Amino acid sequence: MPALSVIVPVHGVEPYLRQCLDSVLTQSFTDLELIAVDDASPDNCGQILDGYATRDPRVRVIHLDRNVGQGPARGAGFATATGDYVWFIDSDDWLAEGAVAAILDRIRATAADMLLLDSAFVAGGESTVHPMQPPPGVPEVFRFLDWPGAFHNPAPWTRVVTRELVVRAGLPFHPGWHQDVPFTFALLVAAQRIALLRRVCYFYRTGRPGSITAKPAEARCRMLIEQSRRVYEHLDSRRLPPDDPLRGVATQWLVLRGFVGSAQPDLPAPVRRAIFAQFAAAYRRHGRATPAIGLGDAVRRRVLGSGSWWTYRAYAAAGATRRLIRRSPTGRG
Amino acid sequence: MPLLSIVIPIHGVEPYLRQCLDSVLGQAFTDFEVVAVDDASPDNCGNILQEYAARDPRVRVVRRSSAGDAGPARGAGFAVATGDHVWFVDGDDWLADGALEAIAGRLRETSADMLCFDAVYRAATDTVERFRPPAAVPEPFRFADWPGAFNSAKAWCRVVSRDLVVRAGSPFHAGAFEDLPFTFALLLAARRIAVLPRVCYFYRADRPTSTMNTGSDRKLAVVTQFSRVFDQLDRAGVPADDPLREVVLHRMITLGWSVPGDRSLPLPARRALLRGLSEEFRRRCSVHLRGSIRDRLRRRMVVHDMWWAHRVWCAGAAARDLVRRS
Repeated sequence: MPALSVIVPVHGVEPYLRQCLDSVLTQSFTDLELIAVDDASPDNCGQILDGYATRDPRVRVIHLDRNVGQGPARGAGFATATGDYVWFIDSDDWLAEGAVAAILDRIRATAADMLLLDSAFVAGGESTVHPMQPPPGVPEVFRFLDWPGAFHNPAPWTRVVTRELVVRAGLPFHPGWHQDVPFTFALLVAAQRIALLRRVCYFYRTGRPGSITAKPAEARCRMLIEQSRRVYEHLDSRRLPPDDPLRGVATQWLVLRGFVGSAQPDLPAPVRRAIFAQFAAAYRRHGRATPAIGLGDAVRRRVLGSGSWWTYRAYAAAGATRRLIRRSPTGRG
Repeated sequence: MPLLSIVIPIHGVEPYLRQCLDSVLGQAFTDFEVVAVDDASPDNCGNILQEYAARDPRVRVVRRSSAGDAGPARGAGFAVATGDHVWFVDGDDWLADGALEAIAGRLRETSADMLCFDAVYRAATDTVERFRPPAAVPEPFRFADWPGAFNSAKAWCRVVSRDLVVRAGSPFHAGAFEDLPFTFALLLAARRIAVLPRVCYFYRADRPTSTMNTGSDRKLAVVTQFSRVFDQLDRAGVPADDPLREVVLHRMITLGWSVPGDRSLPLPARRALLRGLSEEFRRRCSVHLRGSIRDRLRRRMVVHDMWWAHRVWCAGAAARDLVRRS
């Protein structure tokens, strides 16, 4: 059994695929397997994968004859994985040099069942590092409720987890866009030892045409809300009481997403208004009875719960004014 | 979403594959999908599957580049299956006429999360394996109500809900005898087990190269698989004197008895097997196994790793068979 299984669903990424695979297979740490799932890719990806598999025995390929989407494709790869740890990566991204060795060192030092990684977002030639910033007081090895911010980027590639953790979380491989929301939430709920590795391990390609992030905003919001329903279903299935703080964390996230979704400056106002209404409805359906996480969350819940677009606009305007004052030389700074 | 996903792991079954697929696709009941997993089959199975998939939109094909085992192949198929219920069928077996209609009807009647039925073992003569709980067990029941349900441990001898497989932790393990921990996990997690008293499945019991008949080291996996079953019992907090443990022990004795006696295996492998089983036994069991004198004698030989006694017993049984046959 290898120490790590790197699982990568592949669909329509021919120009980027080799960079991704090479970045895995040239790692200094070699006790890994790469499981590539060809999700009925319409381009040449299938052949590229077969070529890699014949050259390197660590590569295993699964071909699907119709497109099932990232979640179920990851599930098919996971079923084939034999490593103690798994890392779900995307096929148009790539790993940093030495990342796997650093990850396994850190895992050995912390006995973590989930290790969170720093990553860099790459657009064109520019890369921006997004470091994790837990507040002071969070212990070195912690649980989800110690730092709910561990969920703020739910992309699966932001963490390496034990294979056993994925099983304990109930193999939450769901269909649809944004399926990483219920996936990562379920892993975080089940994780007992979460640790951080403060090192850029992963390069995320943004702004690629055809990537999910390039889809229409309103449809994405609808999908996001649909997936957050799965988060609450998961909490129900674990028989958590209505006032459990984990439900509060789920709601805090949903409300924040509602505010982010309604504030996108490049969207026309009617679209933003429709998005706000969708999130308000979702909040009233799932989140209203759950406990608030701090004052800011309580205020935002009130605003979203009112369902009133003008209340939201007033709140947003107040926030903008406050930021303006802070930034101005006469402000409090 | 179809009512049923039929997941078929496929490796080296070319002569039998068409019969299997035809028996599924020719059913009168049609609300199902087939997820065929080509597990790096070295023969022509891949092309046969392509042909069926081109002809029938209900057939989906998953191809794996490296041959694994039936367990992980089933797992890969399960991951992309969309039906409410799943049936894991083997590529060299076939379904009885009308089986799907009967199963669908019974599922509707009982809202079972596990439906068990009868199967025919097809060899020179047929043997029917019937799944019949005692009359005192009301339907639907749970595993604890009738631990004997574990005696039909094959992956194919039940239709289960998707949700049950997930709740059981998707127990798709590698290695031969993978159906032991698989079935055990499903039984432990099942809430509504129901019975369909009808032959739904034909198992090809006389195939020379089926995994169960190959005299390879694969059989050593039986120890690992029982170890997994015991782990499940411990995790579920099943007490030491629970009847569930008894049924596992009994099964382990039966297999632990017959597998080291399998004359297709080389002697050193058989010796190692008995030792492995014996160690596993002593590590796990403090339970006193009830049963006939024969059962208790067998148990003693396995637990205490009595290799020569085991050989003498096997030789005696072989001689008796010879005399009977003459």
